[in-house]
Amino acid sequence: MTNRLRIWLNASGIGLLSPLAIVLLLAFIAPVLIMFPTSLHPYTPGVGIGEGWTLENYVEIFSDSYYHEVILRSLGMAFSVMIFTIIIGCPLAYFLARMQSRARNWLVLLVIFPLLLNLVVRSFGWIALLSKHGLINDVLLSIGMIDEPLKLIFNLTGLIIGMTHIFLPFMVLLVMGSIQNIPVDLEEAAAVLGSNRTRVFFSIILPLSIPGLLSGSILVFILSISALVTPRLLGGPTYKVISTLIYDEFMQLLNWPAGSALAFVLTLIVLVVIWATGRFSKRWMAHLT
Amino acid sequence: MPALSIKQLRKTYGATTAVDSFDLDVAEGEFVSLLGPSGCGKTTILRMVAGLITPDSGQIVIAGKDVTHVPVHKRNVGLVFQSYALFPHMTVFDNVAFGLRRNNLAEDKVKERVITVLSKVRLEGLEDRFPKQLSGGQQQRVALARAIAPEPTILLLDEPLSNLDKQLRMNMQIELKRLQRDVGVTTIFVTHDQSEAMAMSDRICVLESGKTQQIGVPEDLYHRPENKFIATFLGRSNSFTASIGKSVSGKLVQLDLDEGIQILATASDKVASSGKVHVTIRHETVKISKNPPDKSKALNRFKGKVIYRAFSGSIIDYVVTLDDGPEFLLEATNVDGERHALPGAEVWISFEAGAVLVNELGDQ
Repeated sequence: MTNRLRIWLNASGIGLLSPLAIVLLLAFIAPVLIMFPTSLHPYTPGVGIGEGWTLENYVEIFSDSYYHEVILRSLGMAFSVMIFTIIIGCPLAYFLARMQSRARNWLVLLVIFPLLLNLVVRSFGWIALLSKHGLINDVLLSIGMIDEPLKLIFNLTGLIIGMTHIFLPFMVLLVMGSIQNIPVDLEEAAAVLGSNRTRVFFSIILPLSIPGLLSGSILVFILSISALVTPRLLGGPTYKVISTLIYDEFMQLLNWPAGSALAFVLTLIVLVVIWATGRFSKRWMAHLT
Repeated sequence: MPALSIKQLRKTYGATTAVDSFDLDVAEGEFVSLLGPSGCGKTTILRMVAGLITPDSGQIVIAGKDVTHVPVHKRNVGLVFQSYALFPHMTVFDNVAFGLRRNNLAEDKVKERVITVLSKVRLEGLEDRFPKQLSGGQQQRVALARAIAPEPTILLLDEPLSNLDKQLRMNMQIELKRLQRDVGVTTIFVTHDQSEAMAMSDRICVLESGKTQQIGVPEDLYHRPENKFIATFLGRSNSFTASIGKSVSGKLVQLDLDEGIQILATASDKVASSGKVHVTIRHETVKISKNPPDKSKALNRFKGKVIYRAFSGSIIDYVVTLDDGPEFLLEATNVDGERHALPGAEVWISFEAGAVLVNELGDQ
């Protein structure tokens, strides 16, 4: 090790990152690098990974309309979940952030409660509520609001409902943190200058909570698009999103090459989303702080 | 018709009474300060006038209209916060235009008004800056411009100068006062800084524990305090307890300080009754000299020794212990730049009978 490098290592404190770096390297980067060659092998039915090298797996993803449909559906689902968590989460986050009373801690606990429940139990709860003969359809039928059961599950609606429920806490907590950093003075100043509460929210609170809103959105988007168990249970065996498709390729068809190619496409989508949001937030944050 | 009329205003938080039976009439264009120590209720009153706090009882009338139950965004008041509360995501222009746009003014009118107001606070050319790119003084002026842009009926200032350093604060005092006179807007100024209040106000209302102690022009408050609180709160002074002695002549009365010396004070209603009184003698009214002063010039004169001297430029502070009496704190003007009366020096102190402020002793 050269002297200069040693000095830099000591001064920057970057050595403190080494435990995490080693774990990430072994548990995350290495498997990814091992998977990449797999995605370039052909698939032999009944056997699995075939001999030789090919780009076939990637070409198929970009040319096969079935893959297109699944990818678009996944993007649409993740985007919808993100939008719904914003619509439901922002007012809630504002309410919690501005609460004076001690009850806030309990309410925040209530918000994160879904995360404490077992994933499978939670999903079966939704199945009980949303299925053809579930509680919601039964009630709506009995009061005569509908004539036939609504299809609320094993389709996009079911996935969005279930995922919004699970990922709402992430949005609420991040946006709440952002709003807590906005001085109440700003809201009062806007009110004194003639803004009613709605206008205060849209002209002051919303723009200033963009940092939290963006991190919340990225998180919810990525968690939604890569979630496996919930889409599997609420989507059923036939209604597939990209993550359940990857699972099936690996575990049912033993098509590791196609599965890993799909996994890399998913990773690419996620990276593009993070990069784009990062650029946007950087430009926005330039005015603040 | 007063621009602002407050009647029997009251606000309590649990068991504490923040504001109690508060009355105030402010004339059109007048500059009135609410002055008091922290927690005296002055900011609560201001926020009730703005509509940010709802009073328990009482009435607030702005320009003849009862606004007690009008929501904050419909009151058309201007408010400058101690923190300035500029919108960090908006340019100076958008900050100042904020209130105008809420009034649904056409955009060219908005632009015209913003430019006019920014030139009034001498911030031309900074329209496109963001608040964080401005100095404290500039931010302060943007806050002021934003508040006066929609031509509010009343301008409310909540300790707007307290975040500035001393030099800048003096300059802003002058600028703020000139702007206020120029615009002619009725102004309520909340401060805990008495010299700021006295320098800027037409009238001052001194508050303590949510109650008005005295309202009046600064000179009246300073020279003719109505009670012990005002006498000791304003300026720097020596406080004593005394009993009223014999009347010396029609105009003078002798007071026997508890510390064992006798002083002469001007007779008034307050000293007419016998018994214990509170005596206040301001630092700057006490003179210090090497030789005994002429009896005709100073009725009260005592010999003592300097125990402390602090030179701070234009003034010099002294602490003098009288030979058989209390300590006196006094403030002398630096006239010749010499090192007079160093600690240990034998000196004379003197003050006029008129400099002795006498008030009822009160509860304490």
